[in-house]
Amino acid sequence: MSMPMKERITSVDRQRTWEGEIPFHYEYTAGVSGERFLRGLQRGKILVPKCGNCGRSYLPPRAYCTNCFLEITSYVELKPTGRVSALAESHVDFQGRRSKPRTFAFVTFAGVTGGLVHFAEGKGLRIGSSVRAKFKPAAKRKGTLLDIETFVKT
Amino acid sequence: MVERVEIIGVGFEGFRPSITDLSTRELMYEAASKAYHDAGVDPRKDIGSFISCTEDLWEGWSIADEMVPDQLGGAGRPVCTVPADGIVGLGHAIMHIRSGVADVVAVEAHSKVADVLDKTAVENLALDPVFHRATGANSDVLAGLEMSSFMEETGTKRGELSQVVRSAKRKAMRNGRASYGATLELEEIDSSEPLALPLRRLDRPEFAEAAVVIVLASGSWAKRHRKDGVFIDGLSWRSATPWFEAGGVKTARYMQDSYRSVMKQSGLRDLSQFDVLEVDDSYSFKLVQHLMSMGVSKVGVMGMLKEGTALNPSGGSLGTGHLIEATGSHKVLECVLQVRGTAGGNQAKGVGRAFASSWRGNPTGAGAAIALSVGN
Repeated sequence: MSMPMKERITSVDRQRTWEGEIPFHYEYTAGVSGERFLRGLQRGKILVPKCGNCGRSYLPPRAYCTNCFLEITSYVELKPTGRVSALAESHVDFQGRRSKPRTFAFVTFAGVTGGLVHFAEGKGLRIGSSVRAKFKPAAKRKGTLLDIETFVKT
Repeated sequence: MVERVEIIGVGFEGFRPSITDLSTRELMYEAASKAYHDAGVDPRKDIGSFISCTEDLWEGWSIADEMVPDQLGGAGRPVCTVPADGIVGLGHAIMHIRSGVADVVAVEAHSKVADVLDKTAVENLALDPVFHRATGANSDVLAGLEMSSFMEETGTKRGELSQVVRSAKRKAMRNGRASYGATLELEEIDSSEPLALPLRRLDRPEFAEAAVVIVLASGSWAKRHRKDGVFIDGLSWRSATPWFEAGGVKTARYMQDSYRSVMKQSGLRDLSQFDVLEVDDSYSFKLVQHLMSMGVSKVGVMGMLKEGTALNPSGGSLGTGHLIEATGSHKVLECVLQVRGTAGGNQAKGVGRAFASSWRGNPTGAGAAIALSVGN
């Protein structure tokens, strides 16, 4: 029959731990759709996949339609202006340590499902503000999301 | 007719910020031993399938399946791990029973999260590496963004969310399983440490450790063995696209759909038909969002925060502590204890029906719900 343990550790000096780590590193594949999107950023363009069946466009980009479950092969270029749909002033860095405040926004684009989580700035920035993507100088772009330096209130 | 599934035993261990005297396996063993004692079953003879809800990165142990069987009494038996919340694990158990895999199933879920020295790193690994991690927006930032949008769309004020926190912490004061009970002034909550404003430190639960084991049986098995179980009237789970990919935060689609499915299975109309609710409050605003997704108005939600109401008598995750994959199992445990009348200091009167829900946390759009009853 089931029986919980009769003996338990009752002194802290008998408690032991073993420190370990998982030191793995990855190179994540951006994928067919991610590649198109990121190479677009490198050229100063925001390219999004558009489903040939239902017409939905998506951000973050994907090679298949969430709605139709069909492959998406066509891409359209967005105007670099979007709307701040959510806004957060972060006081922690990626590791959760206290850091200088940074403003993040969830930027949405007309006719697109989803959006981008990115930096945003500008006096009076609030939910509903119109913002424009500020790209890094062409020579400094690397084909990553950070080719957009920030979104600036228009 | 679909066979009814019953909960015939529950067991738990821990419910502290840090359990320093037990290993993960021992923690599971303790909870399992108590659950089997409660159910009056011998796991080596009576239980046909064992399920553990576990995620490798939280364990710090690749292919955590390998460390599951022995401490549950499942060595050499059908054992599987479900990398999801405990309520989803219960859903898998129901499938095992109704498909004939087993008559009796044990579902284990645990949190040994104090062992994880880099909790934020584990949370960050859940974020899309190409489109999210690049900017350094961590899980708190995603929560802060969703919170801001939710507050804007629903007109929810900072003070209302502080009331959510205050209510949870107060209720937790009467729950022996809650690690974070407190009597707080609203001003303390309003001005707690900023994480990703509007998100503040007290808007999110601190972590806690525990293991919960729930033993389920088919109605026919329970009848043959004269077990007085708690009936599972409905259970459902959904995985939706995360809000930042799908848009729209006013309603949590995963919760709305899970809830509707549970109500349809249960033949019930709305939440007022339950005597106790244990609703996910993984963030203060999530409690409001989840209740609104289940048809409660915001005015109604605020009214439910008062003392003595049926909402989260345990103190919820904000008061108990976040138990990662055991979060839903804890809520079910509280419901089972409530309908049995053994919930302790926070026992509600005359509980015949109870409802629990869970959300798997950022960045997921994955949630689950369950309806329980006795004697209907």
